[in-house]
Amino acid sequence: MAITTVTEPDKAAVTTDAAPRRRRRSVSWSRGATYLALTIGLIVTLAPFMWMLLGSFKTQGELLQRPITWWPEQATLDNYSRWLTQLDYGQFFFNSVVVALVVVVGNIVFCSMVAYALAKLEFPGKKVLFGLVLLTLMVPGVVTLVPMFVLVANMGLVNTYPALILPFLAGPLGVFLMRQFIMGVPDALIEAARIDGAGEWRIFLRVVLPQCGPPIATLAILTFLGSWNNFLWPLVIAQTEQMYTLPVALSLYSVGSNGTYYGLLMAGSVLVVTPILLLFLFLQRYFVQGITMTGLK
Amino acid sequence: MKMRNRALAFGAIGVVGMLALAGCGRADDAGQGGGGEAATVDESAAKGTIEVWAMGEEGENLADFADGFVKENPDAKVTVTSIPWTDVMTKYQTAVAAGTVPDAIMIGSSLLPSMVAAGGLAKVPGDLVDEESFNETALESTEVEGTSYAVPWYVETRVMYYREDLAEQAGVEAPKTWDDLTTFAEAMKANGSDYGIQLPMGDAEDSTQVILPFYAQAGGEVLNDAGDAYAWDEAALTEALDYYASFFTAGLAPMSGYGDAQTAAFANGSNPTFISGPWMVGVLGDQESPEWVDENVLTTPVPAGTDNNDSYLGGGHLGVFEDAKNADGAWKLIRWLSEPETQQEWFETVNALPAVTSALDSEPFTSDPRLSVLNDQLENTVAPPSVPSWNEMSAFIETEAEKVANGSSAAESASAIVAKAESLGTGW
Amino acid sequence: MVAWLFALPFLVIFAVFMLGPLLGSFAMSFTDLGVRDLRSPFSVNVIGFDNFVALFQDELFVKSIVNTFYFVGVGIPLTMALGLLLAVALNSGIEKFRSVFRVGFYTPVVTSIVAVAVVWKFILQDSGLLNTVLSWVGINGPDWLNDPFWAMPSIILMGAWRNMGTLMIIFLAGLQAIPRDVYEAAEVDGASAWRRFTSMTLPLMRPTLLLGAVLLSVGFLQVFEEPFVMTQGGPLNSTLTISYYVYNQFGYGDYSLASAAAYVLFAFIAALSAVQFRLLRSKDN
Repeated sequence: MAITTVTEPDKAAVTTDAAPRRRRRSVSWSRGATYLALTIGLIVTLAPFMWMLLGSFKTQGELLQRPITWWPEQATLDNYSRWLTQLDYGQFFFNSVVVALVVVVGNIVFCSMVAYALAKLEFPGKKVLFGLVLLTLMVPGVVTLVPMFVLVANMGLVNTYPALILPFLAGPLGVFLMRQFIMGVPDALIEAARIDGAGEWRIFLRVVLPQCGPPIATLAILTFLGSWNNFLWPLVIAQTEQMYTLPVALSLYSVGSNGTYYGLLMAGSVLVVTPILLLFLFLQRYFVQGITMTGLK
Repeated sequence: MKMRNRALAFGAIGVVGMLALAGCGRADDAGQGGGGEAATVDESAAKGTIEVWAMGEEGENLADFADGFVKENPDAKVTVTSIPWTDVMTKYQTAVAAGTVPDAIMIGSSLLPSMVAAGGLAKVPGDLVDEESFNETALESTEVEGTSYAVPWYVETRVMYYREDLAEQAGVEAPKTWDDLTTFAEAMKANGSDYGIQLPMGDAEDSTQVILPFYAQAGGEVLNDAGDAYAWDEAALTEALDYYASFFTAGLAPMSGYGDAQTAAFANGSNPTFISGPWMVGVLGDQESPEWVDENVLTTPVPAGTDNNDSYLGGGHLGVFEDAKNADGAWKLIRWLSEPETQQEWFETVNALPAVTSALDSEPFTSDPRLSVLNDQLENTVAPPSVPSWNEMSAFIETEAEKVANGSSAAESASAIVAKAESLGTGW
Repeated sequence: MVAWLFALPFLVIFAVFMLGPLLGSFAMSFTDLGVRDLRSPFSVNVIGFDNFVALFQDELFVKSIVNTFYFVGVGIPLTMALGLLLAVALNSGIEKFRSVFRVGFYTPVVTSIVAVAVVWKFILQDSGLLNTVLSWVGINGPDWLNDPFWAMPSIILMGAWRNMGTLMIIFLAGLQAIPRDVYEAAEVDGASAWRRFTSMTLPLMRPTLLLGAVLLSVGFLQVFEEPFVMTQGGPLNSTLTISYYVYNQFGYGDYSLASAAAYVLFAFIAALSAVQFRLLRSKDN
């Protein structure tokens, strides 16, 4: 299905003069109702987050109380200070950020390269390759864990940044996204560049990539998200606490011999979730564009 | 034609990949599960870095605590890495598979069989420690087919906690037998509590930790004498399941098990009894206050069934990896940690009960009322069997017990458990 | 050819870190590889299809299939309805706070499950937020997560909540791609809003709706985190999904059985996707 560009409703087109006032009133009624419904829905949707945020300021004792309290009765900053001062949050944050950033860049570069080849170039085995990529999108992750670990260990990379990064440096999702989008780049543009004598690499860099703003932003967010929340692999590959990423640290310090330290868990969760939310807030326009443009093809 | 070539190419890459794995792996793999002779450990000082994996509070405190060891062994250094409790087996399995193991590891007692089955632990040197000095049940849980793969470090056992003030109101005393406990719970409920006792429900709450003791209290043994097969006593099993379920069907215990409100319910009186370990004193103290705990909470040994009053024994052991780089240092550290004095000091640091029985013959274990209850109970304990299939077996038992609590027949569940045990085998 | 150069970096990483382990574990599912064989994987016995037979004879595995399809069967329509509802609302010409709503409804999608699960558990407890609110209108809510009947619906609800944002955005774009004059014409002809929606919007949205369904089903068939964190597969294994079963088998050390189960799941995913893709393509033509 081709994309039709979004146009502003052409208000002048259809309104008859006959009953403009009635239309306007009913429109504003339904609009008001929509706003109300949306707001209620939003409150309900965000309630768990509010709860989590508020909970991060409560003591363990208060969190264990029944009936539950909403606003903290004995507000405390202990949970946050524990994370930020005693528990080396800075190190875990650094690890998560470094890994996520490199993985994002890697995916953008390598996936768009192979996507260009799949979308615009001819070569033997093209269909098989793409089929394989699609297939691996559907594979449950836990299946490859042990073999992957043995492999990386035999490379001598246990407990290193390369180990955290390499397996995810170029993933199937990126290929899928970029290929979908690049297929929509008009062949005429590329042909024109070819006729002008530009090599494929030049075409890729100068003609195709610059148009790929939306899917790249989308890929950036999705990849960052996946890397940021990745738990199982960093858990097994890190041997010392200095190499733990945020999700692992969260699991490590929130559950102790006395059960779960809910306040600590929630404060840690707030710290883990906030960067993602901020990222989404800033990039959402591109993100929305990207998802929809690639999705609808 | 070309497509098939590509497919072959990818297949080849995969096969080559796996071959490379096998080739690069340890070529000297003589066998699994503790092959080779156990090392001997001399009296000289330990040297070099000793890497230890530990969990929870023990993990947090061991590095500093080990300063005492370093003082006696100045050429040695102890580094401790904390591992999340919930993920120990994953880390263990992957490390063993790739040979990237530390020197020593703290082993939750229920994890030992799986670890031995995975094959990374070294046999304990025969002359390292005096086996008699340890709690018998704890020692058994370090052994597989007669060979010891770890040294007991600390133990914990479960006792009955109850609200003294509410018991007084209800006019009941600490129960001594199964029937007493039922009466006790009924009285508590009649006194105004919503329920009489909290019991765990299902796999999520590890209900085997009360069901196994019920079974033992009814006289049942889990393994046969040789220790190589399950030997469930169907009659005792039925008794245990019936007794467990009776609390739920009579409305004395909530069907939701502990839920998230365990301590809250205890504190506000809606459910004033539970069976658990020593850490609960701290948890309740955190939630209310240590003074409140002192005033209102009493502990007592678990009530006896027809045969005994064995309670669940858990705890932690210390093991050394076969592929450890500094096995000698690790064993010496473990030996130091098993000295009665060190055991007592460790108790003072993290409140973990000594696995060495002589360490319990002193203050504060003899005078402090709570500790002396634990001390008493430690003489009658039962530990889960040291077999790899226990995780799966206990998950099955927990589901069956859930069914019985929901009203189905205990006898049927008992025979289902026996059948499952046969098909599972011990897993060795 | 130069195309191979473009593809090379990806191919290397893909082959080494994805295909290799995949093929390895696929081969594994035809053996009896268990925990003790990890260090010498090539000395295991090949047992053919025994693992697969054992799977379908295990009542827990069959139950996990039923549970998973229950989750998918109810979860997909529910999530799609919510996503569509949100998209329609956001597309209905409201100008202010559009971004706020968009971000707000999308937030559940981007957060890690561990962070949110504790909160949801608190909410769904017997004396938790949901039941407290229900009691204000006189409803005595059940102990959601501990009731064998209500546990799965609770998990489904949570799954829908977490994923409706993605669909909202996809459907929003689909709606915005429908030209306004199509509606205006219908309005002039006297069609009611509901009629316009069912006879015009929905059919035009068909490809978008099917895309949403495909995306959801790949994810939902693999559902693991929600039951793992919320109910640990219970009560009475009513929330045990196929992925959870796989995880348990890994935990018991039976790697080959776990791999076999994972590949059965993979087969379901591939089959369902194939069916949906075919539907999508035929309608397009």
